[in-house]
Amino acid sequence: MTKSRLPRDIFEECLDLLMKGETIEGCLNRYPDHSGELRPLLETAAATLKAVAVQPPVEARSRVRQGLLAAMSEKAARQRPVRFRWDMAPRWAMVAAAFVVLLATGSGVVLASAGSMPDQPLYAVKQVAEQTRLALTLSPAGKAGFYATLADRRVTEIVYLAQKGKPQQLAEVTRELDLHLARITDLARTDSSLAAKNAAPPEAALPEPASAPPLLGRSETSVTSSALPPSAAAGAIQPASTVVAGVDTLRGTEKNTGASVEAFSQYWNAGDGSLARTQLRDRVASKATNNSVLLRAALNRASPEARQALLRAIAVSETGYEKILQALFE
Amino acid sequence: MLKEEDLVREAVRGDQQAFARLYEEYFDRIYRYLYLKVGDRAEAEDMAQQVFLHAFRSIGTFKWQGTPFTAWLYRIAHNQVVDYLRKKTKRPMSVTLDDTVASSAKDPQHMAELSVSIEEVSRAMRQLTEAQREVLSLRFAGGLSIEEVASAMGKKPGAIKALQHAGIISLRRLLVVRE
Repeated sequence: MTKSRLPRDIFEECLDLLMKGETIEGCLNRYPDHSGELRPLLETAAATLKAVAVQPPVEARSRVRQGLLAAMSEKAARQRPVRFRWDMAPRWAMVAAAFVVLLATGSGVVLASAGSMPDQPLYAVKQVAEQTRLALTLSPAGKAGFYATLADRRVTEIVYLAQKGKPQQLAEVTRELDLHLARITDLARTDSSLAAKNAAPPEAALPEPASAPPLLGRSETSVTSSALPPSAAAGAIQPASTVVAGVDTLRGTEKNTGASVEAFSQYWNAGDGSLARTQLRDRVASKATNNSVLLRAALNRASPEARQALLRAIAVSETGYEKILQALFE
Repeated sequence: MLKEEDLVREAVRGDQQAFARLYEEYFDRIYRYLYLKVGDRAEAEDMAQQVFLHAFRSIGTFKWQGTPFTAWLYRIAHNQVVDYLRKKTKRPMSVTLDDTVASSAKDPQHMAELSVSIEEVSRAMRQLTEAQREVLSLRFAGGLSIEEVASAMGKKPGAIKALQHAGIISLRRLLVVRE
């Protein structure tokens, strides 16, 4: 029966099976009369399939995506022209164009993107929204506060990617985290508005950040599961929303101090950098501890292929926060 | 989860998020296809960007009349390769470190453990006919079915199978050092 079939049809059938995971021997068993001519072709096909299964570099995907976003922004800007009332540098023009895109696509899209993860379609929108917000935050204290918020988001993404077993993307997000933390250090060291000054106590009370327990040591201390939300402690791979919810539970104070970014700006404008510095220091100390706990807890749930990248992320996070606190305590 | 057909329909209507999802779905395959065709990672990345930019700018003109979206997208990619090869000056292929691997003898008696790099496959495929090369690129790197390849190339499925069979026979000979 098999001899009546054309060789090309038999090869195609076997190739299709190979692509679906069948072994060469499994294919040959179906057509023993043709194994002599079929084997070398299937071996070549298998080797070729393996050779072409290259993963594009994460940076390549990101660069191409950015190019596409720019084209989308350009198209949206052409369709809805926006007039600016002041001269803007090209960077501001791009940021404003991105802002228009965000407005054009609707706040719902931006909101929907807020919890998206690096391996999800709306992540690019999230990145644009973050960059837009950053560019529109004028005060150094405000920027420092927002970078601290961005660092929290990167940690949440790292925890998620560790569970998903995506070490390459995890490494990229770790680089972003490193940049955010370094930026806070730079702002703390170089911006005079954040320098310690003698100043009168504030007239209005601000929400108090949670007290900061000492930083954990660098050894792999285990974190008791009671510190984690039950779903996270179960060890199963969590969907992104659950990871974010679980992280938010541990971050409880984040919501309480959400107004402090704007408060920093108010005090900066009032010329009182000392309070901004103190508030930032307390906030960063709290975040340093929380994020260290989260990342170390993630070690228990990380897939083996992501473990090394996660350890690197822990080192980056703890070192980065130490440098910030050193700069803020100077 | 939207089906591809729905995503394409929304993208044609101007939904940029739908197009973004199509990008995420196809980027890897288009990249591999281009990498296999040109044998250069950096060029493949640049061309992949051009493919998706071109697709984004012209998605509004896409129609479902007899041409699946997959075939349409790969035609754009194919045209990028054609343009690239036209612009490329005629010069000897630069030798990369991978060439040292390619030149090592491959004993036909041990072909069960054949291991080749994508650069070796790319170089070998340049010696196939254009049609054979296109079929193998779309099938192996692009992951297209016989029917999708037939649609992309404007040929019948039987012709595609014949090209595929002939192509793999030739590729086998090219990847093995003749004694």
